[in-house]
Amino acid sequence: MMEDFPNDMEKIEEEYLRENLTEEDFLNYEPTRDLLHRNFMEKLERGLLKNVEIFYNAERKDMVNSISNMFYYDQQGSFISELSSIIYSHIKPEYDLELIYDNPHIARPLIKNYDDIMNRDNKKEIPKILIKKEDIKPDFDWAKNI
Amino acid sequence: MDYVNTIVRKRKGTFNDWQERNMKDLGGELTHSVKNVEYLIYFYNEIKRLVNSGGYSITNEKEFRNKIGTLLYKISE
Repeated sequence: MMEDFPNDMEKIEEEYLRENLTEEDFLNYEPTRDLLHRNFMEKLERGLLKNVEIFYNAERKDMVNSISNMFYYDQQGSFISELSSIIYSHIKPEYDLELIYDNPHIARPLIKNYDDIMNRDNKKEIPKILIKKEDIKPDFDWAKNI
Repeated sequence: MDYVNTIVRKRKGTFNDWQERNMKDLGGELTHSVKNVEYLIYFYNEIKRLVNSGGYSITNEKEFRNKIGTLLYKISE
């Protein structure tokens, strides 16, 4: 279950992740790697692999219907999985890092010095009150003014 | 019901021999003027076009082409 963090903290986390971590960092950490990879696979299957399957089956059916030598040993379309596997292993994965920036809590363990970073805006400098020596009147009644 | 291909391909020459042969209709005597390799090039180019239009890039094009060629050879007579 997602923790309910205030928006400004998530903004700080997001900013930190954008500025300090790379795709490789996210791929080296299991929860972020799983998220990125799952999203990549879903997009791949819904998009490219679906289109390849449509093309493959159209070609195969045409050839099978005309009793062609081509696709002769794939009468039922079983080899589409082999083609998909070839494609999957020969394309460069494209990971959408915005997924992590939108859900920075997933990458929270990757943030070094987490507490310091989260508290940096809360640490307001206390202004020093300096009074010049000459401004202090010798007859200043401390007992009365404290 | 799913079917599994159990037909074993008879080895008739090498991949190179197969590429140079013309496509044919196995039900009759019809032989097309298109060579297997020409269909293979068309098939490969379509797959490559789909990959590129999907916004992906191919990591090892030579190997990719060989694997697709081998697959088509394996499932064709």
